[in-house]
Amino acid sequence: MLKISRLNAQVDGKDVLRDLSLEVKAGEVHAIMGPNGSGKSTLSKIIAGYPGYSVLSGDIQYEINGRYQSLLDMEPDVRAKEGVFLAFQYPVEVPGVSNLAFLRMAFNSICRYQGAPEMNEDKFRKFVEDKLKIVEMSPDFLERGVNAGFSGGEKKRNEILQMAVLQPRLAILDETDSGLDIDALRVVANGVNRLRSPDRAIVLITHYQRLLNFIVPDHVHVLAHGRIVQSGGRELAMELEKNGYNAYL
Amino acid sequence: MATMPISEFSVPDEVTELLNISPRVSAGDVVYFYNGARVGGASSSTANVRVTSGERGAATKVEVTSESPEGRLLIVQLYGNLLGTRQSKESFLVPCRHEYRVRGKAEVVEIHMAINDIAFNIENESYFDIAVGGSVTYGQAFWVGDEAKVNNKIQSRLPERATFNGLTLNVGASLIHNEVDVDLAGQNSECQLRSLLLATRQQRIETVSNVRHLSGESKSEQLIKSVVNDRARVAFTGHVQIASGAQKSNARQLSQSLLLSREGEAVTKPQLDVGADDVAATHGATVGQLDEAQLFYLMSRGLNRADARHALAIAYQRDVFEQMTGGFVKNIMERIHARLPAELSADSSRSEGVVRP
Repeated sequence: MLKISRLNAQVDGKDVLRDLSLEVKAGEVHAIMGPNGSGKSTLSKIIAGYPGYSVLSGDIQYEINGRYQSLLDMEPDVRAKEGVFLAFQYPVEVPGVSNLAFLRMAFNSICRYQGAPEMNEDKFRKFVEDKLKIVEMSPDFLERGVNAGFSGGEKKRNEILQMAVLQPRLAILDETDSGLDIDALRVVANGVNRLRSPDRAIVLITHYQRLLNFIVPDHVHVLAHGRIVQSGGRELAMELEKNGYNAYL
Repeated sequence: MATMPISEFSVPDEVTELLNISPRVSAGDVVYFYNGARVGGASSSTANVRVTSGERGAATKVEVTSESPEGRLLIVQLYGNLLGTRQSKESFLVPCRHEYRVRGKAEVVEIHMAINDIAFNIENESYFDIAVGGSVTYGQAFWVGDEAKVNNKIQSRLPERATFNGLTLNVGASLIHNEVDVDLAGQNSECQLRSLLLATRQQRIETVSNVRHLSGESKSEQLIKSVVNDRARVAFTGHVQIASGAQKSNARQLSQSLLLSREGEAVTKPQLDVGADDVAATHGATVGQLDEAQLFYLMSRGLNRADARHALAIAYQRDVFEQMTGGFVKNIMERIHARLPAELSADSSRSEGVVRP
C-alpha cells in the first residue's frame, strides 16, 4: 500500500531524513521506533503533506485503485480523501469550530470525493455517537470546539475518534501514547485495535515499547539519524526496551 | 429618481425569511421602515414605538420607550429603490434618529439592510437614555452594499448601575463611518461594546469609539474584530478616558484583525487617557493571518484549502457572539451572521495570506 523509497528531506535547511525506505502492506501494523530527533515525526508529517518540509529526492508511492501514485504532488486534503490519516502528536486546537461540525465537514468532503452519499446532521450525529463508544468519549465532546481546552488524553482520544469516523486505508499514529496514563492508553489502544482490518495499514510511531504491549505490531523498525537502521519483528522492540537506543546512535 | 410609493411597498420575502427563521422573534416585536418611513409591524410589542416624522428626505425620529421589565424590539430599516434602476447617478440621503428611553431592561436590535444595490447615504443616530439601574442589550447591523455610504453614531450616557451591552455588525459598503460615544457617568455603570467588521473588495470601515469613565467603579470592555479581504481597509481608533474622580474603574479594549489578503489593511489606534491612580486599564491589538497549523490540521482531515480557510475565518468571528448576554439580540445577530455571503470570509484568490511556521 505504501512504498517509501530513498527519501531525503530537510526541515529548516537541516537534513532530517536520509535515504529512508519503507514498505507497508494492507492489513499490516508497523511500529517505527527511535530516539528523539531521529526524524519520526518529520516522516509522519511528510506523508500527510505538511507544507513546511521540503523533499529533496526520493518518493512516497501510495496505492490508489491498484495503481501506485506519488503522494508528494497531492495537497494534504487530497491525501486524506484518498485514505491517508495522521493522528497528530500534538492535535491542534481550533476553537470556534465544533467537533461535530468539523467531523461532518471532513466526512462529507471525503464522501463527495469518493462519490459516496453525504450524511445529513441527524444521521451523522447517530453515526458519530456510535463511534464515540470506541474511545469511551462522552457526546458532550461533539459540541465543544475542536480540541479546545481538551486535556492531553482527550485530544488523543479525539484523534482516534476521527480515525474511526473517517475510516482511512493508511493510518499513521504519531506518538499517540505520549502523555497518556495507563487507563487512557488502554482506551486508545483498544480503539486502534478495533480499527485493525485486512484493508487497512497502520503505522505506529513511538518512542516507547509500552504502546506495543497493547497494539501488537507485525513489524518493528528502528529509525536513527533519518534512516531505518534495523527492522525486525516484535522481539526488536523488546530488545530496545532492554538495551535502549545507544547501539544505534 | 423614481421610487415606488410607500403605500405599495411590501417587505421582501428574503427579509422576512431572514428574521422569521428565529423562533424568538414574534411579529409583534418587529417594526419595518422603508427609506426612513414606517411601513408596518408591531402592535403588540412590549416597547412603545412612536415615529414622529416619516417624510422622505426629512429626518425620521423613532422614539422607543420601554417601561417594562423585559422590553424587546426589532427595528428593520430597509433601503432601496424597487425599480432597481441604476442609470440615475443621483444618490439620496436617508437620515434617521433612533431615541431609546429605557426605564427597566430592554433588548433592541436595529437592522439596516439594502434590498438592492443603489447609491444612497445613510445618516443614522442611535441615542440611548437609560435610567438608574436600567439595562440595555443592543444589536446593530449594517448590511448594505458597495454603492452605499453610512455615517453612524451611537451615543449613550449611563447613570448609576446602568449597563449597556452592544454588539454591532458591519458588512461593507463603500464607506461605513461609526462613532460610538459612551459616558459612564454614574457609579458602577458598565458597558460592553463588541463589533464585528467585515470588509471586502474596496470597502472601507472606520470606527471611532470614545468611552469616558466619569465616575468610580465603572467598567468598560471593548472587543473589535475585523476580517479584511481583497483591498479593503478597516480602521479603529479607540479613546478611553478615565477621569480623575473615577477611581477603581476598569477599562479593557482589544482590537483584532484577520487579514485574508495581502492587499487588505487594518489599522488600530488605541488611546488611553488615565487621570486616576487606582484603576485598571488595558488595551491590545493584533493583526494576523490564518494559522498554518490549524489550516494543515483541517486539510489533513479532508477539507480543501478554501473550505478550511473559510471555516477558520468563521471560527475567528465566533467569540464576538459567544459572551453576549440577552438571548433575543444574540439570536437575531447570529442568524444574520449565518446568512452572510461566504465570500466575506472566503479564500481570496490573489492571496496566500497565511503565517508560515
